[in-house]
Amino acid sequence: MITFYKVVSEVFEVEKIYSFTIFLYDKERENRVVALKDGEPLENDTIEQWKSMEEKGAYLQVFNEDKDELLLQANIDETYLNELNSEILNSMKEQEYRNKKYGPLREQSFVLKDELAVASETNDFKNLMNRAHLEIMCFPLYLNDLVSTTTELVDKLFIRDILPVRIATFAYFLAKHNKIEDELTLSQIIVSALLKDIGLTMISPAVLSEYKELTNRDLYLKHPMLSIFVLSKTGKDFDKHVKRFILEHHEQYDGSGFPREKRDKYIDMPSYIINLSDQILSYSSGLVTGKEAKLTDVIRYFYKRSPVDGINSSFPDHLLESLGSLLKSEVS
Amino acid sequence: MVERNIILFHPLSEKLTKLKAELEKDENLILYDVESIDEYNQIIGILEHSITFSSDKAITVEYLENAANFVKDRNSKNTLVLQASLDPMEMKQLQEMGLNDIQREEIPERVFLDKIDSFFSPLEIAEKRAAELKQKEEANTFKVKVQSSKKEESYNTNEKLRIEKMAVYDEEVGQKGNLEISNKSTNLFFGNKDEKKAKRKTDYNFDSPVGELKKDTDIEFESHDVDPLKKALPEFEEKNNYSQKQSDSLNLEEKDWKEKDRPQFEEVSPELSKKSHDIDFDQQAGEKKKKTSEFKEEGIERKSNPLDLDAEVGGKKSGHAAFPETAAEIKTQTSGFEEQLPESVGSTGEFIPVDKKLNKKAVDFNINLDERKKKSSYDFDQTGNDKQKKSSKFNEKNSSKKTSSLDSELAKSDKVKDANLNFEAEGTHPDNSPLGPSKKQSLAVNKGLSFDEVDSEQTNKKLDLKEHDMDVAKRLNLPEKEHEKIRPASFEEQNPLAKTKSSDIEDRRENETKKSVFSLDERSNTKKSYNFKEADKEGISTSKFDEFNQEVNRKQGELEENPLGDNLSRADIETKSQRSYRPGEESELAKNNYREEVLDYRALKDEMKLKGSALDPAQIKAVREKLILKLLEEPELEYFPTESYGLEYLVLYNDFLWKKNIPMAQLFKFAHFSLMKEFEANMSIFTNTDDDSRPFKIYDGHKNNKVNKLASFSSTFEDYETKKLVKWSQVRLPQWEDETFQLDINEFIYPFFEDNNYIGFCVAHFPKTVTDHTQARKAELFCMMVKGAILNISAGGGAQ
Repeated sequence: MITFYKVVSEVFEVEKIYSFTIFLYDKERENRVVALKDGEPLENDTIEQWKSMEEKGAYLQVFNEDKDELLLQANIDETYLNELNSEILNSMKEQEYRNKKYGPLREQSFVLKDELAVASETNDFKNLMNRAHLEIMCFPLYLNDLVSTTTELVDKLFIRDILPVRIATFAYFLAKHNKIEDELTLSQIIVSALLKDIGLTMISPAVLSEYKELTNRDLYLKHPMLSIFVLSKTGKDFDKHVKRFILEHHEQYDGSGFPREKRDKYIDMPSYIINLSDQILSYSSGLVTGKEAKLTDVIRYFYKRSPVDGINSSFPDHLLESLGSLLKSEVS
Repeated sequence: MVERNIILFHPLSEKLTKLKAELEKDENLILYDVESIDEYNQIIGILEHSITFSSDKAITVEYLENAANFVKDRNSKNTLVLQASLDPMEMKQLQEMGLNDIQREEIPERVFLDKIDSFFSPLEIAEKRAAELKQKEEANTFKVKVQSSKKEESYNTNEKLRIEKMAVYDEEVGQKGNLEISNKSTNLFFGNKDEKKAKRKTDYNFDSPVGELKKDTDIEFESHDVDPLKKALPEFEEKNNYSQKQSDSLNLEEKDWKEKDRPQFEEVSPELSKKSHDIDFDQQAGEKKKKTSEFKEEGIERKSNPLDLDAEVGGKKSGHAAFPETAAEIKTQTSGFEEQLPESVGSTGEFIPVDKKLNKKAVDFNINLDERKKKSSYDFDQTGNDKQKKSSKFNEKNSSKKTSSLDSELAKSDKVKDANLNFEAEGTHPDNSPLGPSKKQSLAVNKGLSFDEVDSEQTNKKLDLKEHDMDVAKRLNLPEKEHEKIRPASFEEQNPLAKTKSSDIEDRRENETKKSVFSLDERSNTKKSYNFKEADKEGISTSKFDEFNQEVNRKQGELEENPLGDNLSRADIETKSQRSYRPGEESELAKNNYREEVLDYRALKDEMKLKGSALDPAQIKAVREKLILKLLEEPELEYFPTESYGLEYLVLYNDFLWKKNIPMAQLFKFAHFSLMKEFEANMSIFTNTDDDSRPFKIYDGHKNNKVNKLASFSSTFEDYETKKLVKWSQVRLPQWEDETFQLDINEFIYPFFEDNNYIGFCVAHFPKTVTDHTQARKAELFCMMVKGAILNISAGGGAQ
């Protein structure tokens, strides 16, 4: 339910008395003031001030309970009012639609361990991706702009079984498995997992041809920073956590990672989760060795800290331990 | 009064140690130093409201986990003070466990103090409001009684009678042990300061002997470091020979009780015990029942002994409210009485019982003796104030108020208490009754009756009053019909409370016009003009009493329906009280009141439409103003646009990069596809490794696309390209032909550089599909993503 209707100063007339209070909201300062009290005449100076404030980005508002009076007394009809408030009204409709569509599906039972086993056997991530998709689509659109962006990205990408989407899906479930439940953090993890390598577009694909040699390529070692650079070109100021997770997605617990050789607690947990997911899925997809491997096997490598070539299992113990409960045959 | 409990979990950091020192200066705070989880669990379970400070993360986790049931509610706040900041994950986990606040060490102490204040203040305000509301309701109830003109007329006669009786009693009783009871009470009264704390530590050891009690009390004072009373007490005790007097007075009291009162009261006790049930002013029914069951054994002495009141106060955790701060202050308080008091009272008999629970406690006749010895204190005023009583009942009331005004908390905050004080002064001290033991008995009974009357809203008024009166009359050797007069008399004797309260209401209404604050002094002054009236004993029969009782019930019900009664004019009240009450009927004012609380704007508007001017414009205005204030604080609901900024194309492109031997042409094609999909645009890519040489086209996206809006443009693109190629190759910054995005076909050039070396460019044409800078940035992003592929070609990889 919309609380305030956004209106413009043009719909009000000088010298007229309105039976409802008009508010002025300054979005930048997140501050609302009374622009005109009910029963007080609107003076020319006042309306001039409103216009000046509107130019600075503030806008007038009327309480939703006063909608009828507004339509009756001001020069505005319902269509124009809806048009002025189309952004929020559309978002509310969208949210309602998503909740209706994905909400019931979300209630269906889902056992991550079983689904991972199936994905591992069939190399089909469809169920996992679908589940992640519908859960993320229920994230509230009024929470944060990153959350809204995440839902949109997920809606467009999680229909494609590609490596970045697999990594993001696995990171999402691994985060939830590690008790990260809030939508914002999950969104940060998903977006970071999807966009962590977009900096590679700035590097010649020839650099990426030999996976094992990657860590010897200076350009490749810079790709986290390049990803941040590309991200900045969107014109959108992304969440600082997203930037941090992207920058840290190759850092390892023992400091053996790159680009900054961070270690231990100086690396954020979601960064570890993204890194671990990336390594597991990359290894599983055959990107590392050129040979596909069962997902559960790769998970087990990490869980057991197996000294497998191409795997860096230097992660916090509790994170690796949590992998155990994702494996059907393991006792968590 | 909400207790401001602060728990400090040891070990304390430097900051917390400093904070503790600051907190100790504030007498309103009760500090608990806790060193173990077990200790914490014990304390947190019994504290109503508390703030816990800790400086160790591990300990914080431990106590939050252990006391999860108690720490997650709004009654408690948990603050962790740390030197370094926590990482967000840890912070989140702690918050989920119930941690409310994490503060850095560098934050100044005053911030903590402010936070403490902001936590407790709303609780105190809420409690105060609740108390005021309760008082309003009570006042409304008694308003009906005030309207009885008969009682007003008979007041003078009754008062005269009563004073005469008091004079007789003074002669009879003289300097009996009652005075010493007051001495003892004084000491115990001191013990009240930390009674709640004491109870926690001593586990309510009601049965401990007097000596033990004193010990306990002493321990309490010692433990209360910041209490100025700690210093004052030894001096005071020494001066007043506290211990000696305490034991003496208790002995005497016990002796008196055994010799005189007990046999008589045992007869009466069943009736009285019933009444004690009735007078459930507070919600301590269980406790009272228990006490009632003990009544027979303990005798009537308790009934009339204000010590019991204090014991009850202890049980309610409120003792310190009436606590004089220092010995000097105590002297000041009592100096006014000393002249009037018998010598035996001396400086110890000057304390007037001040506690909001008093009227309730007056009927707790049945607390056991030991408990009374330990905790009671309020027997001062009636013991030695015979002269005072003789001179005027008002003096008694005023003296109570004087004492109460010395107590800052009680005097300022609680109106209910004030009313209760009056009540206590008038009706709770049968021991001092001028009627002597037997008459004292009747007075006690009368009090019981009067309480019953006060509590007429409760169902327990079914008590057989007539039978009871007969019983009393028999004991008083009255003629058979005389018993009928007892009840009205006793009722009226109790009624002063009602009348006082009623007079308060009226005074307040009068004062409302002046918009003045109704201070305690004002109240006491105004009460003089409305002093409690004793009914004409001869004038009111039992049947009249019953009639009156019914009337009270009826009107009380009516007034209960009108919580705004206090805001009405006297005429309104009277008119309303004359109307018959119809169940389920809700007055307009009651509705308005409800609206004020919930700010139901829609309902208000509907009613305005329906009733027009029937509503009070001032109230409507008030509601509107409240609503506006609330709306000003309403957070702006913001839905964030579901915008992906074209990043999905980058993710897809990125996936291509990992494919082995992916042709560069496919990467260019995908970039072109992105532009086509989003903007119906065409794109061609050129490389130029040498500034002098002609650019070399590595991808032609114009020629092959004839399906979009640019089909006709594409057909002529070759000629256009020839003309423009050199110009394009000279562009060194991304460039839109029309940055206002007005052209039908807008051209965009994006040059590529590597290590400051120009390596080529791409040119794209948009059929007016890019209309703002946001879209322009997305288009630039699509063009930009082919840079790696261009690099590959520049390095000799070829476009394939």
